[in-house]
Amino acid sequence: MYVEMKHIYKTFDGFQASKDVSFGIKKGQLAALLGPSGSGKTTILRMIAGLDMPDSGDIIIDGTRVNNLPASRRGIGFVFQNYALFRYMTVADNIAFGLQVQKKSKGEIKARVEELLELISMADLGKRYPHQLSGGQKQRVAFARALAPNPQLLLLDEPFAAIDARVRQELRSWLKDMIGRVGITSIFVTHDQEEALEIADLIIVTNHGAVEQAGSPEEICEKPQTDFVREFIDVKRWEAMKAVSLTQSPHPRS
Amino acid sequence: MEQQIIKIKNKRGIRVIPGFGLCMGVTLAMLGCLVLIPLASIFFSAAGLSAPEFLGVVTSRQVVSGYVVSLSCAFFAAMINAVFGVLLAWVLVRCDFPGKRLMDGLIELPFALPTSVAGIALTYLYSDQGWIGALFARIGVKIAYTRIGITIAMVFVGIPFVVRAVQPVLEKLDRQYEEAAMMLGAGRGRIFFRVILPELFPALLAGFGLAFARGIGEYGSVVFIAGNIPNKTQIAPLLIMTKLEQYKYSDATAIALVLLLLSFALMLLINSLQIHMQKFSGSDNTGDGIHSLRKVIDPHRDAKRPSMTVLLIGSGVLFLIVMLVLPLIVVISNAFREGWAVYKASVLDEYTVKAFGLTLFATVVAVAVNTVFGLFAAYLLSKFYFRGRQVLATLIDLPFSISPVIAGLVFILTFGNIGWMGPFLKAHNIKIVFAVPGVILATVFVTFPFVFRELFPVLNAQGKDEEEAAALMGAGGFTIFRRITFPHIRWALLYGVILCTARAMGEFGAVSVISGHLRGKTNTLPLHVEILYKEFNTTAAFAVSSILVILAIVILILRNLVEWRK
Repeated sequence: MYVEMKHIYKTFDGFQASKDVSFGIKKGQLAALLGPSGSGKTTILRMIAGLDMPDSGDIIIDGTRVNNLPASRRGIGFVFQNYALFRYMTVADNIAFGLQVQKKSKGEIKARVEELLELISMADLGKRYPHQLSGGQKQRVAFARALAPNPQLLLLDEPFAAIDARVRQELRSWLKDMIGRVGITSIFVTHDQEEALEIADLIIVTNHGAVEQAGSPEEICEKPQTDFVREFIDVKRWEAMKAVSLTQSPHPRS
Repeated sequence: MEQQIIKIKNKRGIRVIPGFGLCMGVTLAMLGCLVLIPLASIFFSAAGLSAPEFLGVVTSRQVVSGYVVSLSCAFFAAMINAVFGVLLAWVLVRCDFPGKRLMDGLIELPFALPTSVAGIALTYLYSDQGWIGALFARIGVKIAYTRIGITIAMVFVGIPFVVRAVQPVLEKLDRQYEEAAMMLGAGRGRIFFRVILPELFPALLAGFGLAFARGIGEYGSVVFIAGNIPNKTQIAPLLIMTKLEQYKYSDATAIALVLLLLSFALMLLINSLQIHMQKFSGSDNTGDGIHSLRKVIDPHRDAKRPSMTVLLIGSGVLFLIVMLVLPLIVVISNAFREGWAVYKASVLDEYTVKAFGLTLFATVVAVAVNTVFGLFAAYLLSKFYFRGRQVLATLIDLPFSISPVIAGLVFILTFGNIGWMGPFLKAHNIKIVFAVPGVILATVFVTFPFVFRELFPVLNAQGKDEEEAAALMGAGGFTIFRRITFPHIRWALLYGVILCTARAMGEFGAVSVISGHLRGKTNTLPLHVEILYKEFNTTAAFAVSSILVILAIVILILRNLVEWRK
């Protein structure tokens, strides 16, 4: 297991945000934390990142217990729900920020920024400021910024929540494609099951701070283990999606 | 000072809410009579000067030195306030420690404490025999009667501006920016300077501008500690005062006009910088511009690196103790230096009691006038759309950036013997200048925007839907105001009244120019303090000051009580 959560508990001012959370994610997997709002999925993501501290339990990344490692030293890429792009820096400066922190040479930074701008197909927009970008472009910049320092793990908090329904579909397949190309272990949070079913290899269903079930999309849909999962997952939609993907190309990953 | 007003929707729509004419009439009449016409007098008078005469005055060595001293000291003071203002705002928003509320409540002390009281207390503290001055004298540094002393006095009066400008922005600042930087591996220093500071910069600039403007115009707290050595420690407002005492009205006007234009140019520069910065923020959280001087406390958790936190809190507390608490202790301890009997005699002195009466009277009138104005003007600007709202809002704010000495001067140039209304007033035997009406007018002028500034943001944020709904149901203008609008602004109104009272009671510069210092007749308490001090009757001066200190503390406590109720 590349990322492992073992018996994590967390309370905020008396509110139980995580109850005995345990799961594991293999290297290279794209995992989804799926659940209704308030089910504790973002808290789990923030604890992996080091932005929140668990009250008890172990967080293990690549065989090392990281509970006491500050967020800035965990080497994890994080894409925030509202992107949190630095408003007073250009797109290129945003992407370069993590590399400057690592005290990379100017030439190295320039080359890496150009490479990433190329990757997100925004090669000529490096001099723009965030307020001059569309929602989808901001999302891509946030993705490039998180990837710039070459993290081994990428976390995404509701990556499509702030985007128009129209562009969402397109961006979803773009992101899946990108993550596949970079080959980075990734975890994203969503409350949209279609999103999770479509792009994740592993789905972790949460409810009331606890993990209900973790498994592949097939397992979650075809063998729900709890009443909650059975009610929460719309099996008809899964069957429709499966029918579509069978008639089209085979699954691009796994 | 940025004047970005939220655009009211339904721009070209029909005015449903009644009372537009009345509000507009009252607002324009009061603004015109109390601020604009007197202010115009300075331009009329200056127009009477010939160009060589004018240039001769403003380029004389003494005057140029006055401008340089005022500008340079005000600039350094505003820089110091920028650093400590951000530090204090940070500590108040991000840290939690015992005594935080007290610290927060103290910030407005320079608003509530009359400048003459601050002036004599600071002079005592920093003179060669003073508590702090003696420490520095030993290493050969003189503070009082040098530009360092002037700068310290200007720091004192400017403390609230940066803190109160930065605090609300820091509170609303999305933590995600810091977390994003943290996830990219940035340390605390880099996060602060590269990510947080740019976000705070527009607000910091606004606070800096206000502190700078206040420093340039400041008179009361500076004159005592400056020592007024010609060509060395004479500030520009003092030169105006000196010329007035010599009855050289045209010289005073020339000096004042240049000072006025300098501060307008400064405000314009800062405003345009801010508008430039606002481009980056996109359409969200630009705010309504006219900020209330109020703040909210909502501590964020910030437990990491306790040593750093302790250092920050420590320097904030030390700064406030040296700058604010020590002067208060100086006043109280000197007031009782010669025992209770002497204290009682000074406080119950005939002239002190009369000065107290006049101070109360002027304050009550000023607060009443400005409350009426504030209500009409805030209602007008928030509930009706019309061309020139922006200009009107800027004009209302004018008295904020004008030196109190110039505020006094404009009334002399309007109503004095040499003023354009002088002959008329003389013919009808009405005395305004060097009489009680003048004292009241000057007090009204300097406190003019206070109530408006507290009411406007609240009314503006509330929108006008409720009023329109009531109007459509057939309610009249007064009923709408009493039943719909007033309940929303009760606390803001009380808050504005308290701030206005504080400032009105303590006004020194403007009143000093126009009162003529007639003991028992036109002397207010802050003026009385100055007279006693100049007569070397320091114990009495501090005894009278102690009354003002107590009043200031009562006002601060009231202010905080109102704050908590909301």
